[in-house]
Amino acid sequence: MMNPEITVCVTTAPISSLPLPSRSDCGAVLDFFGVVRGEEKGEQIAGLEYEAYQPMAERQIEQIIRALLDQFPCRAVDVVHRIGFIAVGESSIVVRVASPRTMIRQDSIARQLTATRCVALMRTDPCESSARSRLVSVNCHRSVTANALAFSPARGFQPAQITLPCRKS
Amino acid sequence: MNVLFFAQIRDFTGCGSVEIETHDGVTADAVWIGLEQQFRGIEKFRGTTRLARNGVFASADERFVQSDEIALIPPVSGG
Repeated sequence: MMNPEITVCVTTAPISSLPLPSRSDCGAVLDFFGVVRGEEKGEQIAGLEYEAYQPMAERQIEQIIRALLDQFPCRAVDVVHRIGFIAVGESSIVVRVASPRTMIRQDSIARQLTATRCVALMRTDPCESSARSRLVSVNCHRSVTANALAFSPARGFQPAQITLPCRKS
Repeated sequence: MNVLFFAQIRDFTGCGSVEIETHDGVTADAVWIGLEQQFRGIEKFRGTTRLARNGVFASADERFVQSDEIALIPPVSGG
């Protein structure tokens, strides 16, 4: 397989407003969205705050992807990680994994990537931050919801349920 | 040099970055001393904070120059 293309973007823009690359040489594309969930252990949260040392975060994410590609080869991986305040129901990260044909283990890249800590990306737990007291009394865990949709020319779109840990600690 | 703050350290300092004057070749000790002079009490974060120099984690014996960009990466991190 050709050298995989990797794009990484850390942005304050809502992910839904960003176009992701499409590639004419890839017939199997999987999109994974990590979404801020509104409840954790019975407590409500309003959202989460992410910030980043941007150049370092983008480099770290790319390094993580390159390491994963040794295990899970594919044609391209595109990652957008949003920073700033992200309300419940909105995506904090999207991972697009594209291959010429097979979908085999494509989800593994998204799963491993989102489970690996990127230290230059900082998630503020609202209940620990006095400066963000508007969020006090809400819980402070990011949940990861797997809304994956796998596409192949032969079978069309197929829902793919992925179970993800929140993060390594 | 320009020093960047994030998360709880930014909350502590009340700003996202600061310029500190140092000599070329200084160690992390001098960086923290310079920061302590401007933000009394910031030293308490030292034990759990890693310094990155120009986007790369600095080693324990790293030497810094005035043109460096230093980021203080706090313990609560990981996207």
